[in-house]
Amino acid sequence: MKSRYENAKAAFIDSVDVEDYIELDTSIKVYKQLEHSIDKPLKMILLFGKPGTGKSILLNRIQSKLKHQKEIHYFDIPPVNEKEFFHKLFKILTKQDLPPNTVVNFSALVDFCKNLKDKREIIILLDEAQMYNSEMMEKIRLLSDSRSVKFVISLHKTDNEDLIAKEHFKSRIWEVIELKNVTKEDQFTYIHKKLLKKNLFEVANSIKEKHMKLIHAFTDGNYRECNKLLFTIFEICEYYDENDPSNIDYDNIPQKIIEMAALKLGYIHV
Amino acid sequence: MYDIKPLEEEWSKYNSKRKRPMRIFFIILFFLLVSFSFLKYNNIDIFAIINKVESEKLKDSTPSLVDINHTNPKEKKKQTLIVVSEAGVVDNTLGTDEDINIIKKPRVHLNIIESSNEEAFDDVAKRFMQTHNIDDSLFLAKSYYNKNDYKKAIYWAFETNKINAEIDESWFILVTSKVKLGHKNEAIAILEKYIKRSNSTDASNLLYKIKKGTL
Repeated sequence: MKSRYENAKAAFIDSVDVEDYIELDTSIKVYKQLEHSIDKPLKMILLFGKPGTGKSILLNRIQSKLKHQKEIHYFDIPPVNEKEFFHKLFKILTKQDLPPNTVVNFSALVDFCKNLKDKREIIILLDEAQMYNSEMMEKIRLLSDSRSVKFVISLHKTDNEDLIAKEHFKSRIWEVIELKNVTKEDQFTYIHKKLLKKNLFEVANSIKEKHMKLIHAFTDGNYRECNKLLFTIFEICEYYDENDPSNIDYDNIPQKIIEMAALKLGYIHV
Repeated sequence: MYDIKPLEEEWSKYNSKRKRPMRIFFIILFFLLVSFSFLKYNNIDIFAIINKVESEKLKDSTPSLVDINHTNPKEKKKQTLIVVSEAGVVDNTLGTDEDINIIKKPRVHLNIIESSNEEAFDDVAKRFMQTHNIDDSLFLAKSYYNKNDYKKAIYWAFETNKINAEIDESWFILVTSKVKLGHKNEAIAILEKYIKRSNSTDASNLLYKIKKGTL
């Protein structure tokens, strides 16, 4: 017999699938802010935040929502090299494949983009942009200067590096959107909505306020960490449910299981 | 199959470590309770011991709080009331009541908790040396009398009389202490002098009891 925790576990598999997007007050606010910025005559928009704050899923969401209204393209993984990137870009801009054994002439591409001004408005969503080198970022900047291609650049915020101060962002970023870790209340809503989306009402009710305090303390309100922790919690619950049901309270997840998951993931140590 | 055993063991260690400070706290609390119960059972006042140690330290660094033989010039002037010599001879150097210099001080409420603590008496004695408040000296006279320390009771009654020779109670402590120490004749002599001067009925009653031996 299938354990009730198997579906609960699956709900927290980390993905950027728009189907898994959970609307929270804070995420709706950021979404609207990004949507509004895209409508503005901006050349570049910087979206930044710590890993696991929901940048990728937000880009996915906006692409999914606007794809029927605008020419919007999502670059989820940075291309292995510049050549591949411009091949991809060439195809988007010209709507044609690059002939075999040829390379993109960047100057010609910039001129092509300039000619598109007031005819087309293309939005490129660049995820993991910290992996693009400075030269590529400079070329992206030149393309954005044509005013026909708009870039939304998603970056990891690191403690050592002030990204906005980076040379190629100094005078060009016109809009900055920062994503932060969620509050305890929002995290509670996030977990409940995730479970209720899968019709796991009993499991959702077994997570109490005291558990949320613990989960928030371990994950610091980070979505990715929260998914990891919840996945592990339900994985342990699933084991007990199948092998030793006396160890589990179906109405109230034991704190022991949350702490065991935290130990397994290294949030706490012996 | 999910290998849960090592994780359970790790959690047990974590849980045990987490509860350690609480356990230590309860063990300390338990030992404190046991120690206090033991001290109480054996009638040992730990606070008195602490105070004694502290006051001994204080004594080492400061001059003695109570000096039995100490008299300052002002006191000598007041001493003209009645002088009780060591030999037991009573001499009223001032014959009339007018000559008696009575220092009347407003009675103040004494915030002293009756205590058997010697250090508390030392503090009162020290205060008396600074203020010459008869409430303090009378308190000490009564306290020592109640503790059957008649020599000290006589000393403090005498100190009180030096300042105010009109307090019956102080005279009664003085003479009854003398009686308790076996100096009955001396007590009678003192009391007769006092009765002569004060016409106190209570003093006369006391004299009657002393003479009759019913005190």
